[in-house]
Amino acid sequence: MGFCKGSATLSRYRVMEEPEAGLTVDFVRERLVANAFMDIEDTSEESSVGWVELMNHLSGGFSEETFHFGEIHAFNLRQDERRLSGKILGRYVGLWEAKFAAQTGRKPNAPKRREMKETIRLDLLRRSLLDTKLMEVLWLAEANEVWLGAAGEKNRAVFEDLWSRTFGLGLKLLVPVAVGLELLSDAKRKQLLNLDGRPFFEGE
Amino acid sequence: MPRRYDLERDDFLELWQEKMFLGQEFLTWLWLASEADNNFVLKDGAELTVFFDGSLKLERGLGDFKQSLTSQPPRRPDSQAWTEAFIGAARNKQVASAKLRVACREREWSLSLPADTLCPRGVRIMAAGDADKEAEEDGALARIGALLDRASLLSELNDHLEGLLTSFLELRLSQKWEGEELPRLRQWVRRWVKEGSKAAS
Repeated sequence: MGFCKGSATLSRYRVMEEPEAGLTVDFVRERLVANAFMDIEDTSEESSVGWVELMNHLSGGFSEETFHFGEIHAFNLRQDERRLSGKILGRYVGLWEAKFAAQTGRKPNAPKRREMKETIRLDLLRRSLLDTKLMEVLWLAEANEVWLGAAGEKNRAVFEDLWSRTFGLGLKLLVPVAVGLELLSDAKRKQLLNLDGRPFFEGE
Repeated sequence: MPRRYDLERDDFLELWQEKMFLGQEFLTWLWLASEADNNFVLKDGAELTVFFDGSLKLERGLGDFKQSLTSQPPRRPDSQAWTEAFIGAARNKQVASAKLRVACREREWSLSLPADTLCPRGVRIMAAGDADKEAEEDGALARIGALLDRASLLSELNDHLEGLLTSFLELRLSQKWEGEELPRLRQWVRRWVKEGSKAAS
């Protein structure tokens, strides 16, 4: 699904800056590799975000032929997350407290309880399944545009943060007012900045 | 490089909020104008046909005072299904999101557009069916070919949407908006509601 096949969703951005040494394949490759996705399968980390290749979601190697296609740089943002509900954590902490009380004849004090809660949390996280999300990204060098194959504020925030850490180049989402400011004449741009909304049937 | 304007992030977010009405006004205009005359000729000469053929969400007001309605498209030419939406428009509700089709020569795209960003969602490219099939059958190389083909078709759609938005903005910022376009659309909606009501009774 997405840019390769099926239905596509896209959030369009304008890249507002150029890398100091120009936009080269090496620049893109080095940054992608440095911010490639780190696997957290065998850890108790709660989340991991990074880049993977477009055609191989398990690889962050990024040899040129895997991401550079003509004027397009294409890659995937991969986000793995583990979720642990407070209810489940509470149940396991309760079980441990009952066991502790049965063994010692007293309830655990606050520091002991905090320590065990964290131990139980990490243990449960390690045992819980990962939820993997992929978002395709196309960087259209000639058009100076970036497309994120996802919508929604949350997805855009994850992408914008990783983009900024990776490339350090400013992005602007191409919302209606941004398109207007780019494409209208100078006189119309001034008018646009002073324009107020008015329902079509107001004053009827 | 930045084209024609540059704003700090916070200023940009503030401007986006302040001009959020543009997307709603644009979609409302596009819907009414497409129902009234269906075809659009853009500055670059492209001739587009736009159909609103899925659910339409209209809104008025903000926060606790927000009123909204969702309307389905007519299934038959004499259907009353849009009546509710037209009455809503006549009461100053504006389109908050819509499903539509954009056609240009042999190409056609179906998509959803939310008014806040106008970022296309669920885009289906009618001309790309064969590329999909090829991509599934022939592995990585064909998938890259399909990606490049689809990127080009999505770029074309973006150009058309930008062209439509620019046409709207130029009209909205001209004297023709109050003098000709708004009266034309108002009259068209009034007539539709009146005739629809007659047919319904």
